[in-house]
Amino acid sequence: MENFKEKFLTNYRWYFLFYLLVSFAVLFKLFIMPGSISGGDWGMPANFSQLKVSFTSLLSSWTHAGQLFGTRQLAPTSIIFFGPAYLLALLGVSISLTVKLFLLVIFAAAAANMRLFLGKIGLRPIPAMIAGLVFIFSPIFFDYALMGWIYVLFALALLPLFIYFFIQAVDQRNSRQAVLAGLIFALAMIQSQTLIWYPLTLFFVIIGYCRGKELFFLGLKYGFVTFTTFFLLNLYWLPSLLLMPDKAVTGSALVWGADSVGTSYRLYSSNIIKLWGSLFNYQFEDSYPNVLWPLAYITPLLGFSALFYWRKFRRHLGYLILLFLTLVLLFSVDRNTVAKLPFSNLIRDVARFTTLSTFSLVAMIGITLDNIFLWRGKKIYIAIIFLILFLNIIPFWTGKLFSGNTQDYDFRFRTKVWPSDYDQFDAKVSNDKEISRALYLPIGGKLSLTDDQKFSGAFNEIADVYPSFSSVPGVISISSRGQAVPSEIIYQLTEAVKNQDVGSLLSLMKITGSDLIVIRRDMQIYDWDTKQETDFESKLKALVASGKVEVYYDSGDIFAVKFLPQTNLIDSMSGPVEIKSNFQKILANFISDQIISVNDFYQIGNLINLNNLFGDKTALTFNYQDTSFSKYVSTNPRIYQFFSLKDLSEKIPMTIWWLNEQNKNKMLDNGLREENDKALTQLKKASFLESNAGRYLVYAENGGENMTVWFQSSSPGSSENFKINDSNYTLSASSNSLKKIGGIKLDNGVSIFQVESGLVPLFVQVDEELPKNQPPKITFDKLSETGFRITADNISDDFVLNFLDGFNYYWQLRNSGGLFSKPIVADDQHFVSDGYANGFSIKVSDLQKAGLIKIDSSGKKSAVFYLEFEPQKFETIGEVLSLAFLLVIPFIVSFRRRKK
Amino acid sequence: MRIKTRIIFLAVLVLTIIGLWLRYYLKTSPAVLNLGSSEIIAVNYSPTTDDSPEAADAENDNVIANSAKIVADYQPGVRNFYISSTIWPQNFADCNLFWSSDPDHFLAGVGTIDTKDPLAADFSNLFSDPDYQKFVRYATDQNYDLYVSFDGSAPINHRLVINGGEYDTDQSFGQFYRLKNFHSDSNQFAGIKPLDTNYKIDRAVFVTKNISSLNQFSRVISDSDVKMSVKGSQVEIGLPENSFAFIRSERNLALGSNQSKKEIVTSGVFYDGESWSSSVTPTVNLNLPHYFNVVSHSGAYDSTDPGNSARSSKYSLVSLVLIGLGVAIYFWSKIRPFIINLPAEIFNLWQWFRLFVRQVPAEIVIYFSIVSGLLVIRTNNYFSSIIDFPFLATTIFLFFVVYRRFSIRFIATLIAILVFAIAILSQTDYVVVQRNLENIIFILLLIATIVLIGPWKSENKEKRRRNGKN
Repeated sequence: MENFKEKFLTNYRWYFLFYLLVSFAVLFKLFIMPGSISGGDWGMPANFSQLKVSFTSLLSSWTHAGQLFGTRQLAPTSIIFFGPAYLLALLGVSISLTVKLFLLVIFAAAAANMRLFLGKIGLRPIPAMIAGLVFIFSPIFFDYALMGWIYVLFALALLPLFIYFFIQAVDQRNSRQAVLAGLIFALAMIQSQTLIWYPLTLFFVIIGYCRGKELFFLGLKYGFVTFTTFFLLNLYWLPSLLLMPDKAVTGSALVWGADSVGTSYRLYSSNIIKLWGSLFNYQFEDSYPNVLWPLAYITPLLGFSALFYWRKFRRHLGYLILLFLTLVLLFSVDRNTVAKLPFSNLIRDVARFTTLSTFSLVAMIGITLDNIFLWRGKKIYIAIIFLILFLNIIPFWTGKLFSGNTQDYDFRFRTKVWPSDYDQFDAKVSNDKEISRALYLPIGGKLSLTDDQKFSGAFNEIADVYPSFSSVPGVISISSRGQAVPSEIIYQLTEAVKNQDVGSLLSLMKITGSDLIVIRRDMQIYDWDTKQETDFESKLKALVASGKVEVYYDSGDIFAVKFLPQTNLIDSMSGPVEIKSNFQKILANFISDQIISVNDFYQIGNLINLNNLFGDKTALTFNYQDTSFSKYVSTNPRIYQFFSLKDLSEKIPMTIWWLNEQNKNKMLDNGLREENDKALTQLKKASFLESNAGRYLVYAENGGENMTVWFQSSSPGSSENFKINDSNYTLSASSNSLKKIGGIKLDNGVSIFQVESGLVPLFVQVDEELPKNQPPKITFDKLSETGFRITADNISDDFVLNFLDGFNYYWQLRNSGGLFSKPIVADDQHFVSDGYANGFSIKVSDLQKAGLIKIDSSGKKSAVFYLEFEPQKFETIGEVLSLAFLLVIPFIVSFRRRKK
Repeated sequence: MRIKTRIIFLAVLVLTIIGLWLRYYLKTSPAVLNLGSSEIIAVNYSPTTDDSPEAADAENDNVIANSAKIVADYQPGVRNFYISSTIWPQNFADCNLFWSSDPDHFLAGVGTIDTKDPLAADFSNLFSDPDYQKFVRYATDQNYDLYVSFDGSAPINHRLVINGGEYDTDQSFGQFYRLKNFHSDSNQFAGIKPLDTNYKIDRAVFVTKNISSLNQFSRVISDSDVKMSVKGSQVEIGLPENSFAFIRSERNLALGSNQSKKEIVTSGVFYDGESWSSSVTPTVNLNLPHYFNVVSHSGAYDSTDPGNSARSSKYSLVSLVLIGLGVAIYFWSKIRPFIINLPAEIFNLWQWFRLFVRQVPAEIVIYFSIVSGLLVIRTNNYFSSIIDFPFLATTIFLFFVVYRRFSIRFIATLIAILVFAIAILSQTDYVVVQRNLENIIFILLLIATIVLIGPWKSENKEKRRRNGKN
């Protein structure tokens, strides 16, 4: 018996089992709830085929999972979870069960690792065991599990193990342990913020634990070993990100994102010391009875009391308190300062640093408990402390993980079983070679279900998993991370659907190369009522008669129409026609673009009209998008766009209102408030509220003698008057709503147009001439997600190659498919086409220089070249190296041991 | 005290505590709920005060009282109604009031507007006339009666301009002028001004019957249509499809449910029209808030009695005192000498303080002069904002820490005391003091860390000294 007790308390396997049982007792209800965990940020694949798609998408650096137009896979670290999950699925374990088991194991491992770490720093087994329980019954485990932030919990669960191995390395002067610490670090990297949390922890441990010159340098040495191991294990993504950086990681935009700011909403000092608080993560607090509130301070009281035992734990208390104070520091500095820190996009959500404070405070509680156990003859005090600790975790043992929500945003564990229609439809689409892209409604990636109360209404939405993880991409996710280049086209699509403007939708589907539009009848689309939903469906059905679409699927909850004819994902075009707005120059006359951004005035607003004017075989490119995203410089603008003063005058009161609204929040970050006040002062000075109706400005560089101005008119049958800089003009009647007037002379700089109501100036065309060259015929083979082989036949002149995935600077045309291929088009000839896609301006001379042109017997020229996503090269090499290193690690660790 | 006596005392205490809680549960009566037939009035207004919760409450009471007067004129036949301004129960309300506000508060109170929404144009139209004095956001396509009162004397012609259109009013009652049957068309916003802009509008309120566009549910008022079964605090409610019931109780119970979207529970005031005669100005008892339970879905609900929490606190407090007494009796032998020695202890403390003052007079003089200096500078308005309470408190704490030569045990004691203080303060409204104390804890932790990590050399010396090498 004594032997068993000894084993149970000191053997990792045994106490892991104990924690597993305890965690199961808390979470067992999940295992009897049918379906996969859903709601909040839970968005795991629901079945095997979805798992397969998400797994394979992680192997390439460009993915369509969760984004219709594709996006760069910056750090495919979730392979750490999806890899084993895929293997389990091959053995027949369902993904929904794997996710539940993963959550269970995270709980058990977190407690066991804490127990192991505390044992290492000199705590007796029983207090260390209890501290393990305190750790997993802390608010962060409660809230983040409900929210679906399991990767954060996974990183947190491994943190004690990471420190354990590092301290072992220093104590035993043993690099093998440092290698293991690096391995743990690499595993925890499943959560991107680990890149801040773990190095910070390592730094604090070195300065706190490695006291004395000799130890300090030893600490640095093993820190280096840990980092090297981490780097080698992350070769599959890190080098490509470092060598080909992306704004999503290097920028600071996320720090200012609405939901990043929002997460700190309930983060204030008293919540920090109780380990509570964060925007959508306060289910624990809500479930905690008010009458017990003072008892919640048992956590800081016990934790900080560890200072009484500083003589014994001096080397540990230093770094533990520093870890605790990191959150305090980030909380007390304003966001302006946070945004200036390196990798601030990774810091992003300050409230998530509760991971560090939870770990450190619980470890300190362990230290205090260890010493309390030494109180002889005062068992009653010990009993009272345990009673309070037990009461402090009341939401766990009263089943509040599963029930008890009082507000919409205070959700608890929910599961979902999807109707079989979804699987049938997905199977049909996936097996249909003709379908390459589908637009699922509603747009946004989060769904409110009309037939399931649990997932109905704001904050209760469920992730749109079917189109996210389908082999035919179909979802447009909208988040604070933004949609990068395609954001304007996504806006146009959203507006067309919202206004039920089927005509525009049809044109946009063609421009975006989407073959299907899919309606799920059990989902809420915007705030449409049943009538509006059926109206939309009938509008689509009406198109069937016109021969523009055909019904593709109509059964149960799903209705889909297919658009005819289809657009090729890669095609040749003439052009490009450059469209210049000069909005920045115009706006600068009125107000700073720091306050009202040029991005607020959608440049591609008249994309459909332009597309009709030039025909769909001409590539269009908009200058403001090019200057933001590409290296392409507009040299030959053919179209100038109008800037509406009315739009601007609407923006101003709205911006004032929005800033006032933010300032109303008394807990608002000081940096934000200062910025808001500055903006408000500027906005209140600007006065646009008079005589802006019907006023439009255009900025034509160098002016022009013979320009054509296009208008949209609501009374096409009659002639209409307008003024340019106070000179009068008359627009004659026309057969459709599009009217034009030629021979207009505009000076260099701003011209002011004044129009009557019902008339909207669309754009100014520099000359009447349209691009004429005949583009070559394109055929292509998809080699992988990141590589295409393209054949161009009948090349007669320079042309544009249009690739309908979202623009990314790293897509390149290469002369061969090999590792050492060369680019054939210069970077400054790669532009944003049609408001979102990749356009390459190809000169015949470029193809000739690369030796790609072949001339057949009839004198026709053709060429074969490759379209590739460059980061993939680093990733493919990196994947092999990482895997090789992972396989070597067991040998490194065991080889030395045998020698010893 | 002998052991036997102690045991008897303890037994009596335990029995008393058990008896106390037995009484608590026996006195808890089951939920009694009935169907309410009184009208529901929803009031919407933009708060103008953000100084304190008390001021906000006072403003809310004022708006409710004024709204009740308006409703008495608008629907003279209605004698009893529930009136609320908490959460918009407008989907279910029989009558809705929209109070207008001045530009600043209106802008601050408007919810999110999509800047590309057609609404946005409607919104910006409001600002096309800088003379508009009051603004309101209300429901579209509704008929409203508008009640307006003016600052000082009212204009002679009482004509109003609303969203560009001119309208006549007649004097209705008291200081309010009334415009009947104003239609909101497709506008969600309205701007109002008197035709003669030399006069200033004091208050303006749009009143309408239930909002047709929101009215998806019909109200059930007959007991035969609603199934209600009560088991303790659990209430099972069955309703016909697409209907809602207004459920109230004499004891003011609030219903809640595990599943969201099933019910709207909100608080308001019951307006008892029966208690006043038509000649007397109507009043509402603002001190008597009621819970509205507007239930729109069938299902199981929990009822909570707001009176119960005060009751349970009272019982808990008495139990706590009794437990404290029990502990005192159990540890009597240890407590007795302490009580007997108390005067001596206090004398010792005094002696310690005298010694302390005598030992380091110079240091104490410096600390006190700095603190007094800060206090003097603080009388200046500019400095008072810099040298605020946390700054002063931190300085004083820092002096304590300096005096104890950065002793970690001392810092730990201070932190423990502060955590206790915060735990107590968390039950009160002294939020600012609490936050300041928490900041002091963070500073003390930082000092402790610096001391712990501290210079390596001194530690090596200490080690050597301990090892007897020095």
